[in-house]
Amino acid sequence: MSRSLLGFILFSAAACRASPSGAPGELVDDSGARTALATPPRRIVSLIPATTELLFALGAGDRVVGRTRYCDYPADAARVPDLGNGIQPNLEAVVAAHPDLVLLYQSSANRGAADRLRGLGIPVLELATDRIADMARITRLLGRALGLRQAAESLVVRTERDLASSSQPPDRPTARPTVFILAWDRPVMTLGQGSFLSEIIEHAGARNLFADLPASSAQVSIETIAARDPDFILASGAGDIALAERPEWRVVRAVRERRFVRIHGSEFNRPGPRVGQAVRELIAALDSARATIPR
Amino acid sequence: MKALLWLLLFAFAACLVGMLLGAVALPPATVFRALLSPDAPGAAIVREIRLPRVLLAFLVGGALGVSGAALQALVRNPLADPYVLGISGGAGLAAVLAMALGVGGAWGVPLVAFLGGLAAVGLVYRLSTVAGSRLDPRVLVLAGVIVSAFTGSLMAAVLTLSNAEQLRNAFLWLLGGFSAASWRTVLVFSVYAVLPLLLLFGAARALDLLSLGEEPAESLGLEALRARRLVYLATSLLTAVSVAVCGIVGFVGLIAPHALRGMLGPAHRRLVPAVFLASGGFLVLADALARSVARPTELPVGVVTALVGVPLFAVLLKRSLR
Amino acid sequence: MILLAKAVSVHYAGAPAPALQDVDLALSAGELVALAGPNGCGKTTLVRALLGLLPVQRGSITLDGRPIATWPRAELAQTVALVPQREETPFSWRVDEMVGFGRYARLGALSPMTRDDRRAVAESLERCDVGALARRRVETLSGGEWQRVRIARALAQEPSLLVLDEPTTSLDLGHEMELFELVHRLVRDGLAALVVSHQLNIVARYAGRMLLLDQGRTAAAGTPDAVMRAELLSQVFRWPVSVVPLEDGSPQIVPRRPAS
Repeated sequence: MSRSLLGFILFSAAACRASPSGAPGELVDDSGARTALATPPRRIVSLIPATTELLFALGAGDRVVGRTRYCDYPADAARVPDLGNGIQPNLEAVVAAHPDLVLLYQSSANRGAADRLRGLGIPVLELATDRIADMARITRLLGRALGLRQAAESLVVRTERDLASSSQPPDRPTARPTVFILAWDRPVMTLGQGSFLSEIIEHAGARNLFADLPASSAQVSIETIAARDPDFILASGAGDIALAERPEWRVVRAVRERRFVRIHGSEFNRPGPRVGQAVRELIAALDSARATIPR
Repeated sequence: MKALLWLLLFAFAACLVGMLLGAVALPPATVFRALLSPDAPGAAIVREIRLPRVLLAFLVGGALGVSGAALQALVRNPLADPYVLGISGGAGLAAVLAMALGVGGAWGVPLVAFLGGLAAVGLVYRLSTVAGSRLDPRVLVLAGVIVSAFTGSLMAAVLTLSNAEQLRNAFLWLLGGFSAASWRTVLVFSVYAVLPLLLLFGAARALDLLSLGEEPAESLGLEALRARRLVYLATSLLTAVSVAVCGIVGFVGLIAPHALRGMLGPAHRRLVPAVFLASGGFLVLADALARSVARPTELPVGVVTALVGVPLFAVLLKRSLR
Repeated sequence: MILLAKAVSVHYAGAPAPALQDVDLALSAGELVALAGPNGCGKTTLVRALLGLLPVQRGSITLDGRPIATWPRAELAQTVALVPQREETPFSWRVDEMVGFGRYARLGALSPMTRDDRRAVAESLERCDVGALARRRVETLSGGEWQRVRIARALAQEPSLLVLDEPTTSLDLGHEMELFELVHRLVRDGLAALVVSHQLNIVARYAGRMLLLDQGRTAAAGTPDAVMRAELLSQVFRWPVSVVPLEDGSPQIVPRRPAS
């Protein structure tokens, strides 16, 4: 008995050292600010849909006490109180939730709110949840903050593996179909290289027609689109059907030939654990678009 | 003056409403206890969020109202508002540029907006003295229109080249709001606004005379050019710091002077303090409405002042034409 | 009190010809002096120069021996009162408020109106026979009433010299005569008055002296008899006129019609 007891004690001691879940310590967020957390937070207000999804994926959904109107995944998030906007949030509502950590989208519009909350003694992490590469960093940061490092690490590994297996191998650029992202039609806006959706397209083995635009979004002319002659047009929702009817769009071959790729689902709106799923869905959508081309 | 006492009561009541309304329903007893003691429940919300916000809205409202009244006398037109001299254009353009270039810090954009507003004022001043006209009101208004059109088109160009996030941030800033109000903002605003406000309060008689025209004003003993310069400077400073602190909030500088001039008469000695109280109360109520009507989302306060202001203005117009 | 203008010349920047050249004028208490001449002859320019509202390029203007440019505005307004040709009223003032403006020069920016100020306002209203209109709003006044209110405002300044620039344009005959009778009474009580007017026939009956300007220069100066001569007037107004005497002796100008 004493040998197994000793063994148990030694094993526990080793286990404690191997997976420290003690004080989160000092964290540096995406604005460069340093935040010190004495203990892992238990009342988190997540004002970014991407982090709400992450927190639930890490198994910490029960610690979320506030979310934005746009935090729609997973379904369980609906029972978390809705506090309004994530940009220029309602400070009163946030403070009333008595949070010990607030997650804010990093933007100049939120700087005032971040300062005010910190001034009231509430720790704030400003996070730029824009691209696939951001998510690994942010997941690990949240893992450290919440004392869930292992869960965070395994989530990152799972997500990266899923993405790698779902992505098409990088072909010669000329063999890849070009896709025009129709973000908005009046005025015509597209998403450039700096956007998450553009990355999904690349992983799906296609090429963003406006990959040369570094900005995340920009206004473009129908003429330019016609000149670049995309193979497909990607739109969320049913906007493409209306497009085909409009005479000015007939100069674009993809519109005449009805080469529309339709996607929907919040996995396309924000980077997160479902990025692999988004790539798979896009590949399927491209395949089905190819199959339905007349002639 | 009886009217001033009523308006003081109105302003006080408006501030009370502002303190009692909010995203979180707090019973009046809790609010009062929180006001008296920093340790009471809800004190953080009441003392750190609601109170500075109500005070800032009151001060900005009062400043814009007084600026509007003074400018109406200066340009001899009851339809002038504080933005008629190009400040909103200059501040808006500067703010949009600052956001597009990623100017940092919580005070970065407001400071740039303030300087932009003053730059526009300087440009309007320069334009209006080009023909040797010594701040002639008609030339002033024309110069203001020109500068506004110019800055407006530049702003549109910048926004067209911006991405979706910059566009949204610019939109939010331009529509105005008090969501980031803090005690520090109240302090900074007060420091900039106190002198111009006192100057305009004291310039009541000068404003009376300026509204008659340069020749009558001078023959009645006013150093008209100096008075015009001081009024111009004071209103510009007040409007620029207001825009810097809370974006472009319209109608505030137009409604109260108009309504009160009809009720109390145009004498500025009584009008200016009355406008200060009424405009301040009006903006506090508008902000309270903006915060509570679409809970927990906040409407931009400029939307509320326009939605309330336009029908109010129509009623006033109808009454004055009868 | 003496307002003295000597050899005054005013040249607007960029104008081809000077607005005033070498004009003299003297005014003292108890005098009504008329300033007349065709359109554009420089009457309003002279008035502005006399009140220090315009810089003069040559010559001098002194009030009580001091150059007009050295008088601070507020002090000047307590000695000289102007009823300008035009003014704007974008706001709806009450008559007693409007007349009260005449006291501002004495009150400065901050001191409240005293009982003396209010008495001065009431007296000015009475002297101009608009006392009953005290609480009316200015936009409801007739032309004649509005003119008399503006004169009352000038009187509230308690000036020694009253300057009226075209005070009877748009007034009918009755109101015109009433206004001149009022000015005549004020001058009789000790005021000095300078009246700019097109109405030669009326000023000829009230003015002690006249100054006739033509294209910026003095065409004639002196008593109405001396100034109103048919040949001179025909030349200045570029229209043939006759001058006939009235039963009280004042010269009256009668424009001739071209032979049909």
